[in-house]
Formats: sequence, structure tokens, C-alpha cells
Amino acid sequence: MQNYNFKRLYPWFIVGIVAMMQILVSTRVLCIGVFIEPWETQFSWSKNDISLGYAFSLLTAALTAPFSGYVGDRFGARRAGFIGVIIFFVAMLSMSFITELWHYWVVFGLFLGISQSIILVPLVPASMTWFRRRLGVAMGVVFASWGIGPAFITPLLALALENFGWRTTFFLLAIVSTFIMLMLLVLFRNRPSDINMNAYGTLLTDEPIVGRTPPAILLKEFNSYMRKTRAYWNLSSIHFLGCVGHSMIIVWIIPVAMDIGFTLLQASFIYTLMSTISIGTRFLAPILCEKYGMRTSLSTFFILQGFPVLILAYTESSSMFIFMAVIFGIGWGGESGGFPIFNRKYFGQAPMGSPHGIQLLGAGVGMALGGWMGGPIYDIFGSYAWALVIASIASIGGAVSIMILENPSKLLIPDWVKIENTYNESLAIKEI
Amino acid sequence: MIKFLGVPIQFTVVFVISLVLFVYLLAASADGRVESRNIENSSNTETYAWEEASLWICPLH
Repeated sequence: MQNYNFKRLYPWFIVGIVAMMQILVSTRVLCIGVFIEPWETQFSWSKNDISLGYAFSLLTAALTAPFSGYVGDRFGARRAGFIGVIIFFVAMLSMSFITELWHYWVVFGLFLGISQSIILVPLVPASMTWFRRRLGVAMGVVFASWGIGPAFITPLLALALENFGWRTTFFLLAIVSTFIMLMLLVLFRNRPSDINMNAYGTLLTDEPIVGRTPPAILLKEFNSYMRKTRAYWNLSSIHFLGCVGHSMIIVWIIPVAMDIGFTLLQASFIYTLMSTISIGTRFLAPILCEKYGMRTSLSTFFILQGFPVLILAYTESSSMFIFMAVIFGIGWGGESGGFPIFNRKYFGQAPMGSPHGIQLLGAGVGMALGGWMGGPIYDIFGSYAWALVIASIASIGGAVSIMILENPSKLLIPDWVKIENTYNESLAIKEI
Repeated sequence: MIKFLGVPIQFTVVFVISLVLFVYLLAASADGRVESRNIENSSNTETYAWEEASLWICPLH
């Protein structure tokens, strides 16, 4: 009985592992702000120099995402995770010894970007294989972890920084994060059959899923089917538009708020408010997508992310600014949660590394472009208004693109489960 | 499905508009940096490789 309950809970345990891994890996990027002041003081690096390392890291993670997705599909998220954690450990340790700007760009921008991609990209598709039903709730927990990490770990990092200095903080982060991630990976399994169980919510009438690493020839064939669909490409450009739409705000909301008269403390409070609200919708978005229709739910979140930004560009009223920031937070949180559900509806149980990777490529480039463009636009026009308008158009463009996506009520490619079973049966007959 | 270079037109439109925006902003940023150096010191003709490249790529700068 105890064993039965343990097995029933294991898919949720996998979701917990993925959420923890996301928190540990992404924190060093999302909490980069706490290291800016010590680096400026010690090395006289400019904010621009430091933010370039941040942008390099996002770009590296984005550009290597399709490759990482393939590695995850071919060799399993667990093996990919172990390789990524080794790179992470070496790079984080190296961070505590950097003395030159290029050391920072190479270690933080390149190697930590690669490790982030290899660890995280295969994890979401792998966790999806654990759920035949209730995928929305599972993905909600995974996406909410992106918001929870910075909220809880930033103060801890700041405390460590104050007591031990930034070099020791990186050293400690390397040791503690690597140890926890290795323990989590030891407990992680790529698919339910690895511990002799079915995916959560599997019914007796469901076609059984083959519990082995997919054959390379089938993987190649299915990736080619996916690449021939509009959704494969358009979901990537939609993710890109969504990320342009919110990264501009994430990076520049504090200067924008200070431009209309908020103090630094008040502006920081608005940012915290937005982030906290986004955690709730990160959790809810995949559930709503599954329940009320994906195109309607996701495009609503894109609109909620886009329209308030247009008002932020022109409002002089502080209460209106706060109100719009809250609405933006709702949209921002919900923006990314629907993509795994789209993948499942369009591509069924097929290995998801490739579509997930190409979507993260779009997202990463969008994050880098959106976060960067506020600076040059302010330099040209002397205000953030045009940057806000572009961010708003990107989100609303994303909403329109979602509405014209294919109908998700039927698969766009052949059914992976059937084809894989037929392939394995034909192999068995040949062997006989 | 309308395709351009093997990818859907919707994807291509987003890609092209974003690339144009990126090239324009990068060149505008380079132009601003070069100008501000010239204002500070009119005899200064120093430019960085990325500034020259971005000004060369953008037809509007």
C-alpha cells in the first residue's frame, strides 16, 4: 500500500525536482543585480559591461537550446543534467577567481549559459512525459518556480555577500548548488517506465507508451514532421514576441517609474509587487490553458501584458502607474505557461526536446533584445516612451499570432505512440 | 501554408522586423557614441570596430 502511494506521488516528486533545479540554475542570472555594486567598486566595470555579460549568458543559453533539446531527447534529461552540472560547478568555481572583464564574459556569459541550457532545456519535456493528464497543474508548479527563486534567494545572496564577500559567495554557491543538484539528479528518472510505472492519469484504455530512449531514426523522422508544421516555427516567434514585451519592462521599470517621480524605494516596491503577482499567474496559466482553451487563455495573457505597457508610456498619475503595473504582472506571469500545453496538443507524446528548444531560442533572443533596446531608445529620444510602445506592440502582435495558430483539437503530426509501437513490433518480428 | 525560405511567413515577418529594429537601434547607438566623443574632443576620430560595422550595415545611418 505504501509502495502504491509512493508511486502515485512520484510524478509530483519529479515536478518538485524540476522546479528546484530551475531555481538553483536560474538564480545566478536573475539575481545578477546583487553583484553589480561590488564589481563596480572592485574592478571599475561599468553597468553596461556587467549587463553585457548578462545578455551574453541569455544569448548563449538561447542559441544552444535546440541542441540541448536534441541531447535531452536522444540521451535523456538525466545524463544531460549530469554533464550540465559538471560544467556549472567548474564555471561557478571559476567565477570566484575572475580578475578581468573578459574572464567574466567568458565564464558567466558563455560557460554558465551553456550549463543552464544543457540542464534546464531537457527537464521540462522530460517532466511532461510523467503526465498523461493534469499536465497543466504540473507545468504550473514548474513555471511558478521561476518567480519563486529570485524572490527567496536574492535576500539570502545579499546576506552572504555582506558577510563573506562576492568571491566566497560564488564559491559557496558552486558547492551548495552542485551538491543539491547532484542529489536531485540521482533521484530523477527520465520516464515513468524507469521505475516500472505509468504516467500520471494513464487510463486502461490509453495506448501504452514505450519506456525506452526513442530510436534515433524515429526521432529524426518526427523532428522533420514537426519542422513542417506552422506551429513549430510560430510558437517560437510568439515566445520571442512575449519575451520582448516583458523583458523591456523587467529591466527598465525602475528607471521608467523614477522618471515620473517615484523614489528608488517606491520603484523597487512596484517591481516586487509585479513579480509577486506574476508567481500566481505562472501557476494558473497552464491550468487555465488546459481548461478553457489554449488560444483564448494565452492570447488574453498576452493582451494583459501588452495594453498596460501602452498606458505606462503616457501616464503621469502614480496610482494609475501602480494599477497598470499590477495588470502587467498578471499578463507577464501567464505569458509563458501555455507553451508546453500547446506542444502536447499539437505533437502528442512525441519527444519534445526539439520544439521546446526552438521555443526557448525565440524566448532567449527576445529577452536579450527587449532588455537591451530600452538603453539605445532612451539615448535617441530622451524618453522610454517608444521602447514601451514597441514592447506593447510585441505583446499584442503575439496575441494576434496565437489567435491564428492551428486548431489544437487534433494532432498536427502522426501519433508518436502508435508509430513507435509499430516500429518496435516490426523490429521484434525481424529478430524472430 | 505560405512559406518563405522554408519557414512560415508569420515567423519570417517577425524575424525581419526584429532584425531591422536591431540594426537601426545598434547603428543609432553607435552614431550617438561617436558624436558625443566628437563633441567632447573635435580632433578625436577614434571609432570602435562594432560602431563602424553597425553604421555600415544600417542604410539610415
